[in-house]
Amino acid sequence: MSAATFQGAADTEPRRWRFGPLWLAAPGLAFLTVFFVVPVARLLGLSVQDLDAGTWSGEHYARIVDTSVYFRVLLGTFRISGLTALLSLLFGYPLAYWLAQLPERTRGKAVLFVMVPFWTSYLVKTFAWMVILGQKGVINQILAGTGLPSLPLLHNEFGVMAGMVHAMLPLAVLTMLPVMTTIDRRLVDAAGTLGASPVNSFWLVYFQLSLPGVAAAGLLTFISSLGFFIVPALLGGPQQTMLAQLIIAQIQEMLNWAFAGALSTFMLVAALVTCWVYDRMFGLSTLSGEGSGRAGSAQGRLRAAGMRLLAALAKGSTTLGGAAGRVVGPRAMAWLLPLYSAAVIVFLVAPALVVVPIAFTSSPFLDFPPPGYSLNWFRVYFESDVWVGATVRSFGVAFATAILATVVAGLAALALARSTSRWRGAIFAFFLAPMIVPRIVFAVGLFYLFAQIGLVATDIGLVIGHTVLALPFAFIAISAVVKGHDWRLDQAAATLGANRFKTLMLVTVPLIRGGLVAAFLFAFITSFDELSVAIFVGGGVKTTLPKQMWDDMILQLNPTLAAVSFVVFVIVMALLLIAERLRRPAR
Amino acid sequence: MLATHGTAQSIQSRSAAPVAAPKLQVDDLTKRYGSFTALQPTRLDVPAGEFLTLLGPSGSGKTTLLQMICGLVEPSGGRILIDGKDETRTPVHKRDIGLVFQHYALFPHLTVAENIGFPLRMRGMAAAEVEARTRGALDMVHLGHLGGRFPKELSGGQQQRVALARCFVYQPSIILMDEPLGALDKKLREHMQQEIKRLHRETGATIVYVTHDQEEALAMSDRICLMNHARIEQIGTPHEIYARPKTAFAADFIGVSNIFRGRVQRDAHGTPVLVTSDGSFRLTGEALPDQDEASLVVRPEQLDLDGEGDNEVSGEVVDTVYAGSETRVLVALGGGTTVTVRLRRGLAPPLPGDRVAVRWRAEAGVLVS
Amino acid sequence: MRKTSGFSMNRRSLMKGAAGIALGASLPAGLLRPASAAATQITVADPGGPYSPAFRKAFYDPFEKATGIKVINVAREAEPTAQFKAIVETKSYTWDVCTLTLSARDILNKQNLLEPLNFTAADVPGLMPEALTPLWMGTDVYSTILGYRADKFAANAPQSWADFWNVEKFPGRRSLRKNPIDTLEQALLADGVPLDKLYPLDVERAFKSLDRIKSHIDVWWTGGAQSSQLLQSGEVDMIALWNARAQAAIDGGAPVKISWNQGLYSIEGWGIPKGNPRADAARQFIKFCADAARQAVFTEVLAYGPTNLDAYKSIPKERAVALPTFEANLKTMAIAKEDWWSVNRAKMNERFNAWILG
Repeated sequence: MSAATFQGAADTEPRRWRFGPLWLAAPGLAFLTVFFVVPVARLLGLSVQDLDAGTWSGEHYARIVDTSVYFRVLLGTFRISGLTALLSLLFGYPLAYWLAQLPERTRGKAVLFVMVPFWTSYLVKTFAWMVILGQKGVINQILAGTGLPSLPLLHNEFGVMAGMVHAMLPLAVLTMLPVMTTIDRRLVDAAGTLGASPVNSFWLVYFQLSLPGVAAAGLLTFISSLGFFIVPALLGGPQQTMLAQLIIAQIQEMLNWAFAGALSTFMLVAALVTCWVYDRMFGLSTLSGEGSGRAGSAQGRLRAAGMRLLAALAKGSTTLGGAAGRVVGPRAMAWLLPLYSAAVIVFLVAPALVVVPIAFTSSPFLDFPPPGYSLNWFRVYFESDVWVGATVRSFGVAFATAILATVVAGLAALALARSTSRWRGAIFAFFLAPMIVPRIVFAVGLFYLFAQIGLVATDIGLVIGHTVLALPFAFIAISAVVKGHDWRLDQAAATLGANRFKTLMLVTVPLIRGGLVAAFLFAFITSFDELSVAIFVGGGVKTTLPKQMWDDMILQLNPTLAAVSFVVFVIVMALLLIAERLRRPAR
Repeated sequence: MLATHGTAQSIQSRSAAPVAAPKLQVDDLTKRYGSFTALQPTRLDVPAGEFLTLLGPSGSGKTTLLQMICGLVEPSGGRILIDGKDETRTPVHKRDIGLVFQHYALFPHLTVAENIGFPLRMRGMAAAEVEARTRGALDMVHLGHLGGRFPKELSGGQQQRVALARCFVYQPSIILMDEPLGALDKKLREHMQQEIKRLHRETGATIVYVTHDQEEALAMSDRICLMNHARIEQIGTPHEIYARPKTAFAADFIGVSNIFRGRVQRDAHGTPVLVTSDGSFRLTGEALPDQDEASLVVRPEQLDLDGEGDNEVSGEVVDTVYAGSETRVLVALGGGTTVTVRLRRGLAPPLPGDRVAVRWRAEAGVLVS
Repeated sequence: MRKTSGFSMNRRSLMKGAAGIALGASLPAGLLRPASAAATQITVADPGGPYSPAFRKAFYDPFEKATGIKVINVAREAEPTAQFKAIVETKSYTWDVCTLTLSARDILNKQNLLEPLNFTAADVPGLMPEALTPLWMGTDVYSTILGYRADKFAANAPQSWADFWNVEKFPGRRSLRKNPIDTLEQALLADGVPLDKLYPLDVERAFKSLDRIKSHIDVWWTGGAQSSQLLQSGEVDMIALWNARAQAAIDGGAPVKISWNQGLYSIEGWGIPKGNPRADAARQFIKFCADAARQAVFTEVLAYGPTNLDAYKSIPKERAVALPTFEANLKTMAIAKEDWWSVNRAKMNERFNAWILG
C-alpha cells in the first residue's frame, strides 16, 4: 500500500532529480568502459584477426572446435564450478539459516568467523589444505594414530572441492544472509496456524522465500569458480584441469595471445549463456537480494514442477526427520542445527588454525604440528624491506580501491534503485561483467592501456585495476541494501531544507551504512588477494603482498608465508571489529 | 449468550457452573519474560459461537493472550482448554485454530487461490476438493475473479479478504483475529467489520478478536474483555461495559466520559453524595462506604443544558463541536473540570462565553472506585 | 615485426584518438630517467625469492662497484614472456635485463622481441658453448632429475627412469610434472631410448610408455614450490623435479636424495628487451656475469651450475657435487633440445592435455 502510494507520488513529480537518476551511474559506466571494456575487447579482438594478412580470421576458433580437448576442459570447468556452487549452497544454507535467526549482535560476531577464509591469501589457504589433507597430513596422521587406513584426500576431486568450497562458502553465506534476515517470520507462524508442520512451513514457505538468495549465491559462486586455477592446480588431479589454466599457459608460456583470446571468448560466451539462463529464470536483479521480479509471470509449468518438488522434499524430510527424531530424541534434534553450523564454521577456520602454529615453527618447512617453536619467521618478515614494503603497499592499495569502488558502486546502485529506465537490466549486467572475464585476460589488456597513459608500475594503476575487479561485489552489496531504503526519508529531508548533497550525506548514507561497509570489505579483500593485475600492472616494481608471496615460493614453501598471514590476519581482525562497530546502526 | 462470565480472579467471583463446557477455556494463563510480566494469571471462558473482543491499549497483554491461545507463544503457567481438552502443550499446527494476522501474513510467493488452499493441502485434502473449497471461499469474500493473482497485486482491502477466506476455508473451531483491520482506512474498516460479522453469522464460528479501537469493539462484539496492565479489567456485553463501567479506566477507555473525582459523604438528609471540587452530587444505588475516594461517571448524552435533573452545576461554555449527527458542548466548571455535553436535538448551540447550567438525574451517574 | 605487431597497430590508432593526453603521459611516471647510452641505472628482472640476494652478491653489487651503474632488481614471473612482449610492444621499458629459459628465449626470438648482445664466445672465455647465442647468454644450469625419499628407499633406490617406471621393484607414490616438456623424454628413457638418441622425440612411443605409468602417478605437479613440498612432506616417494627444488628440501634437513643419472639439463640466462634505450649498459652487465669467479658466488646459495666451468676452481667440493654442471653429474645427463620443442610445443601441449584427461 505505502509503496504504491509513494510510487504514485514519485510519478507526479518526475523532475526531482534534474538529470534523471541514471546519471549517477555515469562515472561507473565511464570507468568500466575505459578501464575494462577497451583493454579486454582489444585482447579478445586478437582472436579474430589474421595479423599476417591483416584480415579477419576464424582459424583459432576452428582449432578449438577441431580439438576436443578444449571442449572437454570447458565441460570439466563447468562441472567443477557447478559442483562448487552446489556444495557451497548445501553447506552454506543451514549456516545462513542459523545465522539469520540469531539476535543481531550475536550474528554480527558469528559472521566474523564466516569471513575468516577471506582474510587468508588464496596461496596460503591452499597450502594449508595441502598440510591438512596430505598423505602425511593432519587428518591422515589422526587416522594413523587410531589405527585406521589413510584416505586419499588430496590430488583428486575431494581436495579441489575442499579448497574451492572453502573459498566460496563465505560468499554464498553472505549473499543468502540478507535475504533470509528480511523474510517475515510471521509468515512461518502463519503457516503453523494454518496447520503446516515445522517441516512443511520450512519447505513450502521459508525456503521458497529464501530462493532468490539461494539463486544469487549459486550464480555468484559458480561464476567466481570459473576463473579458479591455483586451487585446482595444487589440490586436484589431472581430471580437475580448468580452462583458466590453459588460457594462462597460452598467454605466459606459449605467448599465443590470439589463441588465448579465442579460449577466453569461448569461456566468456559460456558464462554469458549461464547468466542469460539465470536471468530468464530468476531475473538478474535477484543478485542484489531482491525478491524475484518474475513471480507474476512464473505461472508456467516450471513453477508447478518446482512446487511439486518442494512438496516431495517436505514429505521426504518429514519421514527422515521423524526417523532421526526417534533415534536421537527430540532434544538432540534441537541441537542439530547449531552443531551443524558449528561444524561448518570449523571447516571455515581450519586452514587458519593450521597456519597460526606454522607461523611460529622452528622448522624451515610447513610441518604440522611444528617440531619446535620460534619467532624466526617473524624476524625474516619484519627484517625484510621487501616484505614490509609489500604489506604496506597492499594495505594502501586495498584501502584506496575499497574507497573508490564503494563510491563508484554506491552511486551506480543509487541510480539503479531510483531509476525505472528499461536500460536498468543492461546496466546491472554491465557492472557484473568484470566477474566473468578471466583475470589474466583483463590484466594483459590493462597493461597495454596503462603503458600508453603512463600508469604501468604505479600504485594508481594497481588501484584502478583492482577497482574494476572489485566493482561487481561492491555493487551487489550496496544494491541489496539500497533496494530496502525508504526514499520518503530523503523527501522528508528535502522538505526540511536539506539540499541534495546534504540529504545524501546526512540521511541516505547513514541509513545504507551496512551495505557500504560490506561493499568496502568486499572491495578491500578483492584487492588484497589479487595476483594477476599485480603481476602485470605492478611490473615487479610495485610489489603487493600476494605477488611477494608468489615470488617467495620459487624454490620451496617456507613458513614466512604463514608468519605474514598471521600478521595480516591480526591487523585485519582489528579493522573488522572496528568496522562491525561502525556497521551497527545507531539505534 | 451469557451462560458464563469471564473472570479475572480479583475482580469478580465466578458465576454458577456452565451447563456445557465452553469452547475455549483459559485457566490461570501467565506469561513472563524474565522479570517482565506480559500477562498476569488470567481466566477466561468463551462459549461456542461467541464473538469475544479483547480490547485494551497497546501493552495491555491482549496480543500475548491471543498468541498463547493459538500456540505461537508458550505460556509460563496455566492451561488452555479447547472443548474441554487440555491443549496447552499442543504444537501450533495441530491446534484446530485459525489466526488472522495484523498484516495479513499472506504468502507472497503463492497466488491468492494457493494461499487459500494452503491449509486444506496441509490437511491432506484431495486436489479436487481443495479447488472446490477454495472457490467457495473466494466467492464468500467476493474475490472469485482474483484467484490467480499474487497478493502484492491486490489492494489492502482485498488482501484482508483473502486473509479471512484463508482462515474460514478450513472451518477451524476457533478463529483468532489480531487487529485485522488496523491497516485499513475508516470507511473500508467499517465495511470489513460488517463482512466479518456476516461471516461470523454464516459460519457460526467462535471468534476471539483483538483490537484497541473501542468503537470497533462496541460495534462487533457479543462480549468485550477489557484489558489493561497485563490483566483483565472488566468483561461483559458492550452495553454493560458502556453503561456500567467498573473502573475509571473502563469508563475512560470506552466512549466519552465525564468523570468527577471526590469523596463519598452523607448530606443533611442522609442521602449519599460525592463531594468534589465542582460541588456535591447526589448518588443512587448501592453507594460506597463514607469517606471513600471515588469517581462519578456521567456520559455526555446523560447531561442536559436546560433539562431536568437532580444534580446541577454551572459553568461557562468553552467551545461547541459539530460532528454531523450531533453537537457537543464543552463546559468549564468552577472547580476546574471540563465536561462534555451532548446537545439535545433541535436546540440552538450556545456561544462560547455563555453561562449555562448542566443537569443530570442521579440514576444516570455511575460511581466507580 | 610480423605477428607481434597486432597490439602496436591498435595502439597507434587508439593514440591518434586519445590525442595529446595520452602522448603527454606516455612514459611511466616512475620510470622517468635519462634514456641515453650513458645510463646510470638498469633494472634487472630475476626470478625473485632466493635468487635476488644470491644474484646481488654475485653480480649486482660487484657490477655497481666496477661500473658505477646502479642495479635495481625486481622479481619476474616463472614465465615472463608475456610481460616481456608487453614491455617491448608498448616501449615501456620497466626491465632492461631479464632472466630467460631456453624456451622463453626461443619464443621471444621467434616474435623478434630480443636485442642483440653484440659479443662472441671469444669475449667470454670458459663459457659452455650452449650458453651463448647472439641474443642471449646463459648464467646458470638447472636440471630435471629424479628425486626420492631416502627413508623410503634406503638400500635399493631408483637410479633411472626405467626404475621409476618399474612399479613392482620400486613400490611407492610417484609424481611427474603436468607438462609434456621433460616428461616425454623421461618416458622414452624409461622405454630404453639412449640418452644421446632422444631427439627428435618418438612421440608415439613416448605416449605409449606414458600409458603404462599413468595409473601409478599419484600427483601431477604444476608449480616448482609444489614439487619440493611434495617430496619434503613425504606426500610422494619419488618425483621428477628440478634439482634446486630437491636441494632446497635436502638443505632443510629432509631425507631426500637426487639421482643425476639420465637428468635433462637446461640453461637460464639474460636477455634484453628489443629497442631498449639502455641496451649498452645491459650488454655490459651481461658480459660481466660471464666471469667465473662471479658465478662461483651464487652457487653458495643457489644449487645451480655455473655456465662458466672455470668457476669450479673456486667452488668447494661438497657444494660442487650438488650442482648440475659438476663434471660427474654433467656426464650422466643430456641437454633438453629446445629447437625440437619450439617447433612442437603447441601440438605436444594439446596432445598431452587430451591424454591426461583420459
